[in-house]
Amino acid sequence: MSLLQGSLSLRRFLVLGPVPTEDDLQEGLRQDAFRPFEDGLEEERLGWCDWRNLLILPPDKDWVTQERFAIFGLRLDTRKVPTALLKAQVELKLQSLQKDKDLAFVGREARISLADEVKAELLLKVLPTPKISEVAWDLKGGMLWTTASSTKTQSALIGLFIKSFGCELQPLAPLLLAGRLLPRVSVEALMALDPFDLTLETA
Amino acid sequence: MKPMELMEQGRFLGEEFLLWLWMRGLSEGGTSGLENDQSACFLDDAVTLSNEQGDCKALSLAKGNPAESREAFEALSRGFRPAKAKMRLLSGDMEWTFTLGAAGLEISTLKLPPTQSKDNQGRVADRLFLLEEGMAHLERRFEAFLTIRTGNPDELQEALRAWLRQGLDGLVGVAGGDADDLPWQG
Repeated sequence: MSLLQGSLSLRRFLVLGPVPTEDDLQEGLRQDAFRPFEDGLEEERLGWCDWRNLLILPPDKDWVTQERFAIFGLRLDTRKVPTALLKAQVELKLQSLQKDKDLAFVGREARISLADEVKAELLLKVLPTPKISEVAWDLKGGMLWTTASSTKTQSALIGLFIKSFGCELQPLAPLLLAGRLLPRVSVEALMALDPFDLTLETA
Repeated sequence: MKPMELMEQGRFLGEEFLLWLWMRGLSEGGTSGLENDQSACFLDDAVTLSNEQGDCKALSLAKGNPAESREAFEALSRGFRPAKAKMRLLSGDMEWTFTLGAAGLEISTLKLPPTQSKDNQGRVADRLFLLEEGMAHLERRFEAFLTIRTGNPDELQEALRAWLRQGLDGLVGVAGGDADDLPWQG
C-alpha cells in the first residue's frame, strides 16, 4: 500500500489553519522527525519520516514538495517485551536478590522497581515494529490524504500535525463534505435532515 | 461538534449516497445525470448492509451479482442500509475500483488506472492526479445527490422506495439493454 504502487486505503481530512511557508513546513518536519528509542520504558514513539524510506530522518526536503502537495510519512514504532519473558526474568532476579541479601520477603515497591529495571534492560534487546502511514497534504486545496486507517494512527496524526504545523485536521465525513459542496445550504438545514424511511410494508 | 459525533450524525447521508449510486448504476447506466459528464459509477461485486435493529446487524453479500440480488433488496426493504460497497468508476478508458464506506466516505483497496511514468517522482505525480480525478468524479456525484436530497427529499425517497419495490419484483437491471447506447461507452 503506497503512493508509489499498488492499491491504496485512504482517509481524507480538511486542514483548518494558515498554510505554513516552505521554511515553516520543513521546520515542523525537522522538529518532530521520528527519533529512535533510547533507554527507558517507552513502548511507543512517533514522528515524521521520508515517505520513500522510513530511515530517512528528517524527511528529505527535495522530496517533500511535489507540485502543490507536501508528501511525507508518519512513523509509529512500538516495542514490547513478551509478558511471559518479563515475568520469568523478574522471578529469577527476585530469587537472586533474596538469596544475595538473605531476605525472606521483597516488598511491593521494590518488586515494581525491579520489574521496571528488568523491563528497561529487555526493551533494549527488542526490535521495534514500525508502522508507516503516508501523508499527502494539498497545500493549496486545504485537504490532506493519508493511508492511516486505524483510529489510533489517525489520532496520532491529528495530534502531531497540530503540534508541528499549528493546523487542525477534521475528518471529511459526509456532513462536513456536504457543507463544503453546498455552501448555499445552511449548516442548520443539513443538520436538520432526517434519514429516509425505506422500509416497505410488504417486506 | 467532535469529529466522531460529526461522522455519526452524517452517517445516514453516506448510506443514502451509496444507495443512490447503486440505484443509478442499475437504472441510469451509472451516469451522474450531470451535463457533459461521460463517467459512470456502479456497485461492483460486494456490499455490506447493516441494521441497528433486529437479530442480525450486518449482512455481507459478495461474488456473483449482489447489486441485483433478491437478498439485497429484501434486506434493504427491511431497514438494512449499505455500510460499505465495492464500486467501479469508469471515465473514458480509465477505471477506478474501490470500497466506499458510508460513515466517513472512506476509500479502501483503491486501484488506480495504470500510470506511464517510470521514475518515482513522475509516478507519484501521476497517481496523485489519478486519485484526485477519481475522487472528483465521486464528489460531483455526491454534490448531485445532495442537491436532490436537500431540494426535493420526498421525491428522492419515493424514487428509492419505488426502486426497492422493483428490486423485490426482480425488475431491476442495467438500463437500456443495449450497453453500446450508454453515454460512458467509448
